[in-house]
Amino acid sequence: MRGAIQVQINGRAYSFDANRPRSLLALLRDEAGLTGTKEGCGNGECGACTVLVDGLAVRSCLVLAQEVDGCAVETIEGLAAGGQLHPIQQAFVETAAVQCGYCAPGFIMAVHGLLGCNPRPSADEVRQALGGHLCRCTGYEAIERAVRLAVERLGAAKATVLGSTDHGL
Amino acid sequence: MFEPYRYARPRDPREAAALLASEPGAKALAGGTDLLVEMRARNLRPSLVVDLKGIAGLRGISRAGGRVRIGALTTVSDVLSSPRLAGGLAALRDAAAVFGCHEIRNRATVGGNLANASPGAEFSVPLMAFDAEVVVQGSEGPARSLPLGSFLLGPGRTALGPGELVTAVEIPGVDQDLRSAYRRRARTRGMDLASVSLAVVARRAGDPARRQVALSMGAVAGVPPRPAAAEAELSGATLTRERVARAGELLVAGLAPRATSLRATPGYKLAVLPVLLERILCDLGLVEEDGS
Repeated sequence: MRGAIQVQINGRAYSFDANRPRSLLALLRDEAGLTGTKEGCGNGECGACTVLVDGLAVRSCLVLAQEVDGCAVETIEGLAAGGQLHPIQQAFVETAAVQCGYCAPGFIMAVHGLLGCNPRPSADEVRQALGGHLCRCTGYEAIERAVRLAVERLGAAKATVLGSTDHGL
Repeated sequence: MFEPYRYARPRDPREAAALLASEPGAKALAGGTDLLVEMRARNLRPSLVVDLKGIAGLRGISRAGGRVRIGALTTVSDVLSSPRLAGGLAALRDAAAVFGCHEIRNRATVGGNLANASPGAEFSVPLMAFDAEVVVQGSEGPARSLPLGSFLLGPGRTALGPGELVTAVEIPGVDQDLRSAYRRRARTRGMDLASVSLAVVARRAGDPARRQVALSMGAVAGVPPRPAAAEAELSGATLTRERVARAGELLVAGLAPRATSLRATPGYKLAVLPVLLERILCDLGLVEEDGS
């Protein structure tokens, strides 16, 4: 391919060497310095490295760095704005859905990707979306509570923006 | 983390085929969910990675007459959300629903799943029962089409030549009277490969005398087998519980799953398959209750 990988990460334009062999995960952590994305298994089994590529949740350990040329990538660092945690992050904090925290960025980005496509997921849809994420601390129930809280708040925020009617959201 | 590779992103299937033919170490990349695992383990050390995702027209599901065409780069998530794959083709959505996990489904492709040729590949099993045909493109000439049963040669082995790629898979004979379903057993629901799986496809499903039932099983042999005797038992006749039980015996007769499987013993697979068969046939509404 041409000389450089051109990629938007959290809204900012980056350019990286196109010739080095590495995954998107390694590019994010070692070259962009965005270490919020964690490496768990490195094999696509655990979900810790989940980020969004063009709005869809993917496992960054299973994507070559070269594949994201021309794409928009979103990582956990892109969520908080103006010193305020994103509502999904805030919900994880309030429901104690984080213990050691290693899996949390992957879970939170997966939830972010899900809500981007489906703002009102059913409990089953949440389980489908998070079923491939491993957490060895929380037992998952707090994480499900966090997602429900985030869905409520984001739905309420959207309804406020749109006016008094719900518009089916 | 990976051995050095060069990366190419061709725009055209013939250009991709030419790149794949250009050196012995060239390897096609679709979703990457199998390839990168093998590269990381150093089981594969491609010198040239040919990313097919730059090729227009290889992603999507279309229907012409009774034929449904699924582009090779159609993702598992695309399959899950496609209205064209409801109804008679539901087995494909069943397979997509249990495929890997959400992030894998967003990336993994139908063509990649077939070309990877795993004995338990989620899409190979129903597509075998649909008598699907694989469309293959080389660097010159027109695309060729071959039955999936001829395309799959064994674990990790296909009929693809060194300069060929899968561009689509096509399902013939799709009509209102087609019914299908796919079920599997896995160790966990969240993220696992199938321990054993079964697809049932019924053509002319509404008319027992003319009904044709096709079956295919995953993770029991190098290529998903089509059990002819069990298919014959279920075709052209009213399906009583007794007939279904006989078909269940025929289904596993002669099967010898390897004992070294990581996921399930041969005994488990042979015990579970007849149960899956009965459940699927009942769920599809094809089994007559006693006295009727």
